[in-house]
Amino acid sequence: MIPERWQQVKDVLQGALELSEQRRKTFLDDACQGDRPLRQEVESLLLQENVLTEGFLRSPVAVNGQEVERDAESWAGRRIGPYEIIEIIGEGGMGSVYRAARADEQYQKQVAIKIVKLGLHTPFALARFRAERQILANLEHPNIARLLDGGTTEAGLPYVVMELIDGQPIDQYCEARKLSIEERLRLFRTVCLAVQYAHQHLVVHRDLKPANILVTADGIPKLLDFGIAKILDTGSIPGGTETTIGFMRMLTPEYASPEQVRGDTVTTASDVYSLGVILYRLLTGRHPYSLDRRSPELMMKTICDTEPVKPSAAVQRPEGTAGEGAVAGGDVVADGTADKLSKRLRGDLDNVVLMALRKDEHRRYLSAGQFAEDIQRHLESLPVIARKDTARYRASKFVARHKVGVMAVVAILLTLASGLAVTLREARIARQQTEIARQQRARAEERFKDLRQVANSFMFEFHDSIKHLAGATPVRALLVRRSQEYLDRLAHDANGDPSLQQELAIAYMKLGDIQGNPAEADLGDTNGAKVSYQNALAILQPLLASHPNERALQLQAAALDERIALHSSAQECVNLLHKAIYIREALLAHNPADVQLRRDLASSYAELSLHYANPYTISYLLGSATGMQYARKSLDLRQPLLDAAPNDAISLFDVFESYHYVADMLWVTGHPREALHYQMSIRDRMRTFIDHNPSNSEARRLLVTGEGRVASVLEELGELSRAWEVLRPAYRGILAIGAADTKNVQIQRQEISGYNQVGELALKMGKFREAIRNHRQAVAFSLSLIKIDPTNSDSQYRLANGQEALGNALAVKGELREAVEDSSKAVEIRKSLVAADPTDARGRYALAKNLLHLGNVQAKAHPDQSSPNYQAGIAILEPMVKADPDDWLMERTLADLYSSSGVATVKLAHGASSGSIEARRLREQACSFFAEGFSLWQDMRRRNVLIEVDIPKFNDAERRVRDCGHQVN
Amino acid sequence: MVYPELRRLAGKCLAGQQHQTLQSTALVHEAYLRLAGQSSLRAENRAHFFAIAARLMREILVDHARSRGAGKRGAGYLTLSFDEAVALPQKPQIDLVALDDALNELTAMDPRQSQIVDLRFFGGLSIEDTSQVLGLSPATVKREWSIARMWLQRELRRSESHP
Repeated sequence: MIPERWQQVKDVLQGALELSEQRRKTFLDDACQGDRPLRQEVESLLLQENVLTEGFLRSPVAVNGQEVERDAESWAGRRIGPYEIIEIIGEGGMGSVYRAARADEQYQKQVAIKIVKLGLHTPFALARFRAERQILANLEHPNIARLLDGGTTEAGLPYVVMELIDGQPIDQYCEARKLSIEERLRLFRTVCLAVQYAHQHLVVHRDLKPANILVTADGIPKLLDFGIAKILDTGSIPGGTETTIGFMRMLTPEYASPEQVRGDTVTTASDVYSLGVILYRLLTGRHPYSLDRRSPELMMKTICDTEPVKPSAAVQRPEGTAGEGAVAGGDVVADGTADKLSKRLRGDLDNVVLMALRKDEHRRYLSAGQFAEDIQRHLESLPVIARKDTARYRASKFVARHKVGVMAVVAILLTLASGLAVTLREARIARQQTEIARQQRARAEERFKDLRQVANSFMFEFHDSIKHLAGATPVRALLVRRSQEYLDRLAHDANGDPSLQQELAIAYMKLGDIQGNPAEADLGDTNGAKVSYQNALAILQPLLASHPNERALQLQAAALDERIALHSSAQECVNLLHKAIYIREALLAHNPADVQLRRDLASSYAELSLHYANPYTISYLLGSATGMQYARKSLDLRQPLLDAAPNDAISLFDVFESYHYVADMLWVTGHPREALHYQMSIRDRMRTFIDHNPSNSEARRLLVTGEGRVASVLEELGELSRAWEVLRPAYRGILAIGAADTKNVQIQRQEISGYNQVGELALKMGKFREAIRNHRQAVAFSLSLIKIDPTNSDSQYRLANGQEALGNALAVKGELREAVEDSSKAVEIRKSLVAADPTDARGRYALAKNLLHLGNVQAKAHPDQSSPNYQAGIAILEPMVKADPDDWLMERTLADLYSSSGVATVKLAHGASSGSIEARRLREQACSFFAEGFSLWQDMRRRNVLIEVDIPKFNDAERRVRDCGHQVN
Repeated sequence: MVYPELRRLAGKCLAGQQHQTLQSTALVHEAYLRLAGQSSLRAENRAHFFAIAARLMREILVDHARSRGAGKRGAGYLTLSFDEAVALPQKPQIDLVALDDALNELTAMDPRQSQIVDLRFFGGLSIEDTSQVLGLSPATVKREWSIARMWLQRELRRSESHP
């Protein structure tokens, strides 16, 4: 049939359908006008109307809208398990909700049964559903509707039986009873605490809204519909609230957070946001934004970009303007007029609500519990944490910021080995290694098979016991070599023996750990480590292929991937980490209670977040919020473990690390105050732990590390004396620990870092003598470490840092000759380090920076000597900047090198006989340097990565270039 | 574009499937959800995207049915447990191969109507969502949907009696 004909048929058909049977005949006579085929066609279609079965063309995927009700009614009176369904109550996220009662009349109590709509027949989905049920069943809280039972119907439909709640949605409840502001706040706070409880059990609600919070007649709020809550980000599917059915169903946007709307990872912070919207409603009767449901794109934009109107301001606007959807009947509280309400809300309550509604999830309350606390504080007339959002902060979006993080990057990331902020990660890795080693040994003992196994464990025991001996490096290297030979021989023999092969894989992995463990760093044999890991993988992969579901193998592979990642280039690293995460997430979905798995997954997240903070991949990664998300995910996984076992050291240390990673990311992206907030919260916690466990030196060390970071952030904020106050006791603490444990190399390293950090701060504060003294200490310490272990590159690096810093301090004080000596020594060390490992970008950058400083020191007295140093620095950085034009850290230093070069050359020009060719040549050269430098500064300004301290440099460069222009003319 | 990606994911999902129940659909739609969650899908293309996804679902289901039935009419019955979707007691069955053939005919006559069927049946959209995606009024969608069902039911019956 041709389309036009079909249209004709449709028109007639449509007309006929609107009429009763009797009238149709005449209508058809009219409409068809003798066209018999047309009439026949229409009539045969009309026949279908009567016999059209309800079920015809029901979607296999999902059912929405009116069909649901019709179908739902057919459930009434049917039995499910021991329950008999009475009637439908409503539609929830995953399916319809019915009122039911037990068929055996022993119990009169009624329940709510939710029948899931979509046939969840994949083993994975079913397993996940069971896992969720288990998690939800564990939620026992007076304000959360309890999960009573669950099962599947004969047809295989999953269902859950829940406590039946008789109540009103919270907003209606408040309105109907005309509750005062205080009463609403109290009610709301209870809700927050319930949400907090759920979070601690790894459940994010994801769909908090008034309809999901019913208040009983007794005034008790009950949270519902955790049916769509999922295990925190393990194997979860990003996207809208209703994700497992009606896959194209749209979000309920009014309460959805920006990250939900964007499809980003959903964390506990998203629930905080939704709670914020709910509070907004309870206090003002309105919505923070007016959303046009017809345009999803616009809704998304509004939620993500538009700032909500302050509650105190919103209540004064007439309805229908920003903040629609008000409860009918206008005014919301018994307190009276809009003005009075506005006054009540102004200030603290405004700030509290708005803090929960911040677009940037990391600037909201850290948890629902913290939200509750702030409300309590307000109710007790105490000051709240929530602060007014300044214009600067508001304008900042994660995506665009490169600016202010420079100091953070330098402090945290560049001086990875030398700041007092010794990487927490090293500490964690060390912990992990110890843990794994312990497990390894336990296993080996268990399966005491044969000589080979014993030999294996011997190898590692031996290593562990000499690990801490300073000066043992040559011995260790020998041991490694022997082990390698041994394992290679074994590998040859092991073919066909899967369990031995697995042992071997583990052994290689352990070997790799020894060779390249960054916490040990002594052997510094990264390539060797990689080879060992790859050997392990090569053995493991065929095993995995023949036993794809063998969990132990999968975990092993994940662990190997992670290790290889540690020693790979940044991109390889990220890929491998993602792989490891993927495996672990999948396993965790099946085994949600597996604590070790959670820890490992959290570590992977943490590791991944570090990559996003790596200055050598700054280009586009730094701008993304992804790094922050991973840091946050890591924290979300770790926090509940700590809450469940508040005295467990490992859990605390993990949480400590995560807090600091989050803080670092905040700092690096230009939010130092928020960073400080996080740092301070965890610092108190750690202090409490130390009070109860005074002999735990690791805790002390971590605390000191944290203090170092706190001091750095304070420095960035310009609060130098506060930073000093934090830093001094911290490094004294380190000295105390070091004195007690003289064999511990890591502590000694931290001491060196401590001296350097104190020295640098002292210099900034103008305390020259202190600066010099501390740097000298650092240098002395480094030298003694080196004497014990001459090949250790890490110690060399620290020594160089100390000498360079000492040189800078001396130069400021005016002791130029000594300054030059020290700075030159540092340069020499760095040169040899670079020669030993040409791929180390950080090392090359450090060398270039050192050359800049050396040049600057020399320039005061001997400009002719400074130039070659500047040139050398430029030679190093120029290709690096070309290769990665977005790396503003390098660019900045390069620009400095050019400018300084120019200045030195100008001085030389003055020195030459005026008017000579030499003088002119020099001036021209200087001008070209200035031009180069200035173009870099301009580039940075274009990309909006200049910070305040750069402005004078920019202006100076501009001036010089202008002067050059004049000169030529 | 999204299409090859979905295909690839779906292909992976279907490989090695023993049962022809909603399993495959559920898998595909899980795959879809993963993609749908990615921010690379821009809102402006949503309509287009949904159309493609629904179309893809259809292809996958039909392919599956065809491969099982080796092309024979009437052998393409999948035990699509509709009751599991709608909680109905009966178990209507649909010959997906025949449906596909019929839909292809319908597309030739009325592409918009066929698209409504794709979106509603294979994509599982509600009347309202369909109307939003296609930019039509819900009344129009309802009307078109009813007529389409009538026509399809008739065609399927006919094909049943003349395999």
